[in-house]
Amino acid sequence: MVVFVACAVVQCAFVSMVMNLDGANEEQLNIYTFTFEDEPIGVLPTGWKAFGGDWRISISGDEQVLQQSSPTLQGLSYAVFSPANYTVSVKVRPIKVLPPSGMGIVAYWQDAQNHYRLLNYGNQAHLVKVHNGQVISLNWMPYAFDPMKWHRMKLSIVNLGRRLSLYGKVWMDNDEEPKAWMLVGEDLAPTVMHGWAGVWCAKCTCEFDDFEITWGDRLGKQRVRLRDGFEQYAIGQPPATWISVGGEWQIKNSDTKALSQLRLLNEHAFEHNRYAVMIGWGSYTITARIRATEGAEVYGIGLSANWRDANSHYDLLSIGGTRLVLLAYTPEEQKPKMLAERHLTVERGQWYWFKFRISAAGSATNLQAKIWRTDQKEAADWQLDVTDDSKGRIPSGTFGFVSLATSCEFDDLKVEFNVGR
Amino acid sequence: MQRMRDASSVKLTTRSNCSLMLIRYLLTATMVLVHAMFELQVCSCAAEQLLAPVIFSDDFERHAVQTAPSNWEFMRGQWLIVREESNVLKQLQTDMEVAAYAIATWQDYTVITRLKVMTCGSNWGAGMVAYWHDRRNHYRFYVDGSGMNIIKVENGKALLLARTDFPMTLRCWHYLKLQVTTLEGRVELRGKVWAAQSSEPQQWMLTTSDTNPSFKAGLAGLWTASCDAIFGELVVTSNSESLSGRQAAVLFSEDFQGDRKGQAPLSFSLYGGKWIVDKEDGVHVCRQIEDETPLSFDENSYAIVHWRDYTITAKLRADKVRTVWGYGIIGYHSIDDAGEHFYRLWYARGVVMLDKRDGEQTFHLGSAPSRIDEGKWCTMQLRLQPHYNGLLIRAKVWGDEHEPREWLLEYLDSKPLNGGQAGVLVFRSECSIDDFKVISNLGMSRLRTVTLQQNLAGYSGYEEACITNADPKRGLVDTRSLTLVRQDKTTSRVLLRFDLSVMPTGSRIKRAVLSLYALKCEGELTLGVFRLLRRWRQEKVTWLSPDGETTWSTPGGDFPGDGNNSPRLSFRRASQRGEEALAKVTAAGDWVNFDVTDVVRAWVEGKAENSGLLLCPISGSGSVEFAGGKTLTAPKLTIEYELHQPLEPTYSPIEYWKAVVRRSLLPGPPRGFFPDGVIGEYYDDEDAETYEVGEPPKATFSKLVFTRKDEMIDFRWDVGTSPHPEMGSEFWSVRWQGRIFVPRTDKYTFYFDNLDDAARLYIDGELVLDAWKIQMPATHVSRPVELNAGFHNAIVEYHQGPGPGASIRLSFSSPKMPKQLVIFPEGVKGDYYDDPEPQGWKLGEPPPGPLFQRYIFSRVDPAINHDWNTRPHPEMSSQYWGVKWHGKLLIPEDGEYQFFFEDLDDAARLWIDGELVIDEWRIGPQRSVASKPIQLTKGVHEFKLEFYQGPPPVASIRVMWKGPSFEREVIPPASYFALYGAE
Repeated sequence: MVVFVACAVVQCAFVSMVMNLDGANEEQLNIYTFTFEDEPIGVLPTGWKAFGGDWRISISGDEQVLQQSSPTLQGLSYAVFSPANYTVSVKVRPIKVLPPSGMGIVAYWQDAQNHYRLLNYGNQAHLVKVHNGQVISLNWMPYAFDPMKWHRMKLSIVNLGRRLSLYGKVWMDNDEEPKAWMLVGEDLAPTVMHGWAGVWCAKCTCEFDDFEITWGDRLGKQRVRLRDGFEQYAIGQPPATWISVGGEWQIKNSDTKALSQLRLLNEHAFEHNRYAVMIGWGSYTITARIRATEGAEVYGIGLSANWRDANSHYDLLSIGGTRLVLLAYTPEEQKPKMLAERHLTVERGQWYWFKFRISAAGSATNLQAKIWRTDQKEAADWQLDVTDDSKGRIPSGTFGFVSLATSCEFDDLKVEFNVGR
Repeated sequence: MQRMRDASSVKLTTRSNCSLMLIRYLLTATMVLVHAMFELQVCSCAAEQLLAPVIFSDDFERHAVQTAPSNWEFMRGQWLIVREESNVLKQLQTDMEVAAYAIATWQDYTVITRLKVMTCGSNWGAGMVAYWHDRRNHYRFYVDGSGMNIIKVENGKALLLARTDFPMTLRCWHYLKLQVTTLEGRVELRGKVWAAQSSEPQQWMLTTSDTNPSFKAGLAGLWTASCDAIFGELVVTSNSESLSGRQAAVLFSEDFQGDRKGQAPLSFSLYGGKWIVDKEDGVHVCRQIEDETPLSFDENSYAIVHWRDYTITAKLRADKVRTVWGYGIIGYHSIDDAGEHFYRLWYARGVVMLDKRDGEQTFHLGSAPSRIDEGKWCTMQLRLQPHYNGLLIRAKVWGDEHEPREWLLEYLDSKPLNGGQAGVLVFRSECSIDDFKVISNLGMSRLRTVTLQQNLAGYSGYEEACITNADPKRGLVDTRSLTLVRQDKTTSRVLLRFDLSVMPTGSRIKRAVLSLYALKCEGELTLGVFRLLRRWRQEKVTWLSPDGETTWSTPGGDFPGDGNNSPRLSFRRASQRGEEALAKVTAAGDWVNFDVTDVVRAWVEGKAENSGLLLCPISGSGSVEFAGGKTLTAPKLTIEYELHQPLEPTYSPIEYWKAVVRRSLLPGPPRGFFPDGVIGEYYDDEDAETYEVGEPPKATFSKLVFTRKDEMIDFRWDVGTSPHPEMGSEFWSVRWQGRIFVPRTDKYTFYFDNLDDAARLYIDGELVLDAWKIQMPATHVSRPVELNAGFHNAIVEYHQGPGPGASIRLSFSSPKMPKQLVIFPEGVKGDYYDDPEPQGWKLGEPPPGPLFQRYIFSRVDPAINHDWNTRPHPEMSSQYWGVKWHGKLLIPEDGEYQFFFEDLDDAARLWIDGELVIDEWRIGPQRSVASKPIQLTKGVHEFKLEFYQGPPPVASIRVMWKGPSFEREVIPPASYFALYGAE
């Protein structure tokens, strides 16, 4: 089921990283659509992570919504999308190795101490769980990587509620992809249930290419949601939309551009793991219906974009029912930076459409936003339009909802690749 | 006996070499003394630093004004040192919607450890870390077999700051010492390593400076990579000489003697590897045993000190506040992937609260109304004391008045956090902090041992002198040795004095031992220790005069006994001479010990003046030379003492077995077996137009608004709030019904604490506590009620009448159990029966009777999910026994439910509300059966299940259900209801 990927869709999704997609159909543009109607009531949907607050699916009128139900909550709280069921594939080739070395795919990334991996280790392939730094092999098989040869790896991870199933396969790039999964692993006591994906290596220099993440829509139709062929980056530079932990990651010109890890050893560190993880997208538009219900006088509702962690994201926030602001949270700054603001009245209890468009453009990130009452027409122009070209700009990330000192409801979320203006 | 002593001497000789260099250590750190003392059997307790160790103390005076102190880590807020009458730490930012934190950490310290590497890989290392932030950011000092290295690990990258050759032998003890000092714009690091059998090098062997420091403070710890290594002790001392005249500079010392072999060391946070407490050379050590880390590609293992058993005290003052503001102190602070963890004592909105933050969850542990004014200093104290059954948390808050004796809040957390740093928090206010202290509770525990030895941990209260009748007008000053002679007509004596003002006021002396190290011995001498009756001056004392101006009453020193009127203090040994203690010295190279308990007790308790001790040869002939005060083996006085107020609770663990809120990880609305907690029916009442204070309320319990399960009865509804939006803040009632469990048959007293307004308690239908009247907040106490061990039905009726605020808290105590919250155990009660073997049975037929004949025991099972590999109780046989579970089932919502028996072997049947929904009452192999879907309404339903185990070997059952909004699951213990008031 996962061995498919319609070329056109791949092409579109990939191209969307670098250019707009005028002419692409709606399905091709769609990254994520969520109405919350099919989700179990009372809990946060699978694939969402809360940071503060009390987030759960609730019934509002005759529809299901995502609700932040704590009206007196102090401080901002977030519900952020983090994928849970997906397939990752990548092309990899070892360049220089110090046996036993390793390279592979990372999934459900929380940090270097907590995630899952499909990896090559010496002359074996393993599915492993990394929990608090401890590595547990869930399954393995004999498989050796040929030096300097491209290999393909594919990892599928399925969240079954209280357990995880992992499937892996590895094959030579020029060979046909094996039809069956070669490695199957089960984690009956998972400690992380979602997270983004990336690549990993240890005690080697190597190159990665054709990275993609695929997941299904409501009907189970699988589509590539995120792809990076590294063509849009400058050679010799780290790819801006990836975060790295350890090692030295750069774009190199192989046959085509590829992501290279150049550091073989970190002497004295006794730690050889190098990670590059892709969290979300660089250019996309979020649209969602939001309303504040009860809460404090000074309250906020809105969307979060380019979320990488609690210290790194952009927020589009309606504050106090009178102001619409764009804020940047970066690790370098103790306080959020106000990028743009304007007077704009928002009534408590009234549903509004929030639209937040993020465009990665070279060394800048353009942010555009507008909101309008759901019973009115969408405004033609962006109400806020600002470019963050600061050194601490956030080039990519995932999306989410934000709430401040109010209970509020969110519905009809749509995330799309950017098209047109 | 002699043979034993000889054997001991041999051991000591070997050890004494070690001791010489060990004791060198003791000039700055105390821990190594444990070994010497252990061997010498002077005292089985560890020697400790003087008085309570100060883990951290900051009065902010040493920091530059208008800077953020670098020994604190800040999370949010704007923190600066501001000059008032004295320096204070000030948080200036008020526009934050979340609290700002300042966390105290160590700066400028020296770490010492003893290391033995057992086995290693080709590329390995072992040593210590300092200024720890996380595994990707710290300094590290380590040996690798061929050299010693100081590196800086920054964002995971290791940068070598200094290295020098140092060939190291495996399986031999070595000392590692690292000193870190933060200076303007740089951090200086110095290290040295030496073999345990040699002396500590005078000079630092490796010195480096990090001129671009990313971290200027942080904790210390142990580290290994790719080796099996043993650590003897870890001692952290402040680089300052002493924090004050009476306080030692030891910040932390751990010798692992209090840890259990085979388990992880308690005082450390462990990252990677496998750290256990092991035994080496007869004493506990800490061992990292994992020398290979296949697949992980990370060979690092860290054991980082965490503060564990301490009391935080700080002065706080709100200077400028917003409408809602707060401040407080926090302990056990740590951050990991799950988020922040800490205990928090804080004030906001007229209430002092005790909370626990564990990742994303916050638990409210207790609160008390309190008034704290802006602009006035308030002192907060939080004690975190590990306990055999959890963590005892106590808190108090006071203003201008004296520190109150009573704790304001107390809580025993049976699932405590591991430990961590201390700090302060400020919320929506400009706030000043002063006199922040973190003191080890060990300093306050009941029994303590202190060793007084010149220069040991900063002690400088020792004086000594030698006098002889051969030269009666001259004192013999030689600080390297003390000579006693009894030969022909020559007699030499030694005067010693230890200043005991360092002993805490109110100490009760349990034992005191004077120890002197014999350097030389000729002949055989019996020595006596006498209490001197007159003060003497070290530089002036002679055989004839104590001070160069006056004369002794008896030449050679005045002491009680013959010729003196002052009575002896010790009556344990009959002696005409009046000595306090005796010892025979026959050989050198050994410690000679005198039991001076009585005289030290008299001095400490103020019954006699401490003029020192006189050491006299009493019988025999010869001379003995003891090590003097400036040597590494100077005379020492080891005192075992007790403080007046014992802090340790004296009750048994069983009383606390359930004294803590339990929570499940399951999301969603509460469902499962009741009771675990108490069902609360919440009623709205008509607003009373008239009411009388002191009169019973007009509660009708007629308009039920909702029912829910409460974990315990401990509520405070603030002004304007109520349990449900449909209920007003006035005139409503609750009826709680549940079962309490008492651990033993005893007389129990029940309390309504801070009751506002009315409540009454029934136990097994009897009115036990009646406070059924409109009233101001008050505490009510029941008469003692005799209750048998086990379960008892409890009903509490509560009414909130007119006026703001509503609160109730139900607690109980017994003569053998301190006051604690009443809790309601979770799960479903099972009565277990054993039966005689029947005459015969048939597969597929019901178990042959008679059944459930001999009752064995009852217990609360959190869930029915059993696979008995053995019999449930020693008194039961492994076949023909049964269980009757009965209780209440909490149905979370209206809808269709289905019940399942999985892995059933042999027979079971299930009733819901008296209706048989699964009847699988037959002997059979392991199997699964399901009920028909049944409609159930939200709320509490009767649950009854009978299980029977027929012929062996398999006995198992798993009872599951599925509901309209959840998939098939084992019926959970309903232990996940969020505590009201939790964030």
